[in-house]
Amino acid sequence: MAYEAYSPEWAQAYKDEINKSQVYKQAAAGWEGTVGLVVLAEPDKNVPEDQGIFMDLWHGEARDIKIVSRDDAEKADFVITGPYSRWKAVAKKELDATKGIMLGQLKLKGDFPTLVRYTKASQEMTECTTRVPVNWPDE
Amino acid sequence: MAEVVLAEGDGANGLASMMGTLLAQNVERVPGKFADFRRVESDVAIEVKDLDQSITLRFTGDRCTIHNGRTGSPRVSISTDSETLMRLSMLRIGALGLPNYFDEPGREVLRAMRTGRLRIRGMHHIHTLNRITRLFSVA
Repeated sequence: MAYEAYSPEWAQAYKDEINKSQVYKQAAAGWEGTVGLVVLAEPDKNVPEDQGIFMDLWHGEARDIKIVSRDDAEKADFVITGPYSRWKAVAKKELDATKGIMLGQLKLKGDFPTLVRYTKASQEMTECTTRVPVNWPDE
Repeated sequence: MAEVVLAEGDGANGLASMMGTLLAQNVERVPGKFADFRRVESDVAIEVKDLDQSITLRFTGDRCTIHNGRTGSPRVSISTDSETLMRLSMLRIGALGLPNYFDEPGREVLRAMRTGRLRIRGMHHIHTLNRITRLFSVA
């Protein structure tokens, strides 16, 4: 079953996928903090408004992942912002999130040294995204 | 207080922005790194081949100016890929402030050197190299 991109059902499926991952559990064992993903609107791709995803991550567990407004996502400890098409490329494994940040295609706000320490965890989170089937609004 | 400046401002490439943020936050978080920051007093070039980006960090006293591309005559030049660059930041600093090459992150860096994924020119400037390693280490 495929989920509408960035819908509450997708968020639940993504959370379940993270919590199933032993790799993530191990790599993020010491992680404490919330992460906000901001998906910037691209009206020509049927994404008319900015969207937010708020992730409450704690010691290798996704306690909550929910769809929120952009403003609410920006209240997280770490915020990664990028246009819809970039996030889609991440979810389709066409763009590595860390490389996206290095290339300036995704913008990071938050303590970078902490994020670097958890590179493996963030890579696994990306892997989890790719395992959730999605109906993309521009396809 | 350490000051990190992007020479190209908003036109800085992604690598410059990321390394600038990492450096500034790392020195702010661990004040002991400030002594290293002040004593580099030279240019250090970093090239990330899979991103097709390079930067030159110019250390002068309390300031580090990061330029897009390779400029001047860097004392140390590091050429690698994005994944290995992240691994370099994971190097732990051991006894006497020297990088620890005997644990897993250290062995991975040595492996990258052996296989050519990491090339360092100016390795004989060992003090500069060690200071740079300590400045970017998040472990």
